[in-house]
Amino acid sequence: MSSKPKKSKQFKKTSNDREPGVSKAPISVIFFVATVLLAYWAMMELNTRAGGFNRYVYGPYESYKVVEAVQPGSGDDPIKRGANIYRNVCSPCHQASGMGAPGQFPPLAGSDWVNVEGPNRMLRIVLNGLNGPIDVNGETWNAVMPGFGDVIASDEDLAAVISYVRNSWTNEASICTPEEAAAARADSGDRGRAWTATELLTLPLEVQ
Amino acid sequence: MQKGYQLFFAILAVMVVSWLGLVVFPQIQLGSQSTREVKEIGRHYPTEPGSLVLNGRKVYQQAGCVACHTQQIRQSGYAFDLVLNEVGDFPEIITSKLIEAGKLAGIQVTNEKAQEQMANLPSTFLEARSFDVVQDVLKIFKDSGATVVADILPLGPDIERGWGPRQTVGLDYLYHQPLLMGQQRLGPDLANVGVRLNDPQWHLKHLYHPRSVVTKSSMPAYTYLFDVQPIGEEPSPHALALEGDYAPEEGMEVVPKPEALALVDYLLSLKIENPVFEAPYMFTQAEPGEANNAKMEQAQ
Repeated sequence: MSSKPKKSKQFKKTSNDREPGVSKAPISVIFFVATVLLAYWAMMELNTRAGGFNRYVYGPYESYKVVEAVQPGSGDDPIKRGANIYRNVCSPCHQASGMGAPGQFPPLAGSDWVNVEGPNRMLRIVLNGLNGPIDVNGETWNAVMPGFGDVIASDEDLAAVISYVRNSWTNEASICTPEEAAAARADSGDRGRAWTATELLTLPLEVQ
Repeated sequence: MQKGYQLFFAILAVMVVSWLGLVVFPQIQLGSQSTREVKEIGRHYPTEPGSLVLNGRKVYQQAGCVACHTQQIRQSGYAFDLVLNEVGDFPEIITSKLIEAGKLAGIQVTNEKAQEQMANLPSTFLEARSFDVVQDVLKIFKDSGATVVADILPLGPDIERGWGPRQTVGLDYLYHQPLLMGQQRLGPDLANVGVRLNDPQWHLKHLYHPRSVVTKSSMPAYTYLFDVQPIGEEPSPHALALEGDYAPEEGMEVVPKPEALALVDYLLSLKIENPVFEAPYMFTQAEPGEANNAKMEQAQ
């Protein structure tokens, strides 16, 4: 007799929010914590091993950067080498985008001094600097650029950075070889003073 | 069923999540790939297979080759060969730098050894297991006038067995429809069989009777792909040159059916012979012979 009202009482209590016969059981704290930890671990695994879900990344290579860096012959590509030098030496003024700064530093991207047949005039500017007014893409700039002949001491590096500038952004021009760089350096000799645009225009485009 | 709608949405959520993870995201990640120009070979890769190859693939499916052979080369790691290509103007400095680079990798490099390496260019002076070591070594040689190049070496059991120069990646399977990647390796991997075993006569003999060319082979003989027929007035040009126990009776010859020829054509089309961006390896150095031949032909 005593069990009957109890049963109905229980049914009444559960009828609002639970299936009949299901007793109330709170989610255990351990289960909740374990789920959160599992989710955290899974996210860490995806973060370190999924290669950013990039289609070019297959194990054992960890990320796109690694795949890019391990391409055969790395270290020998003048453009890559030049990019490093540009970042350190040139980008403070001419900017990483090659756009320069309005009124201060002329652009290299799309410049009519860069997109020419030979690298001769560019080499001279980098070696000994430039002083005075210069027309770039129809606009006149008046600024001073110091020479970087001592900073970029190796001919390979000099050729690399020129090649990088001539083949970056929208620029499309020939690669500068270390031989050309060496010839321009030898020809400049101990000039010791900056070029002016008028002087440069008398020089041939190609290195002689 | 008081909570029927909850159950419905829970099941829907599970289905949607698996559909996104197994179908949609892989499709976004790999599905839109197309042939791509590989600069090492100067043409687009991969190329579309011809009709004989497609017929051969049907024979491959019918004969159940996929049950025992995989078409996937795996790679478990990579290392680097550091190669000295040019010494430059300051050999004394390079000697000391070679010794310094050896120290970084924990190898004792003597003066004589460094001299020897500099005399035989291009010379591989270090094998580095980690990219950090490579970067450190390249830093050492920076601005020294020498040209040092890091070439990548794929590593792993499959590559040690000589099954292929690199791992296979999604791009390699662009024209594999249906994909016959396989799961079991009762026989060797076939992803690169067209390069490893490029003799069609060998393949025909092997299909007719595997033990005739590989003594310990456990592959069944696919004799039904061949006709054993009496020799006519002249022997058939395609007849197999079999010897010993495997030779047919006097006056008979073994001639492959078109299916066998198609299957061999398919096998010879399975090639992993160029690097791709996602699976690089040193291509030009691996085959110096071919490069030289090409140069000699040009010279003539």
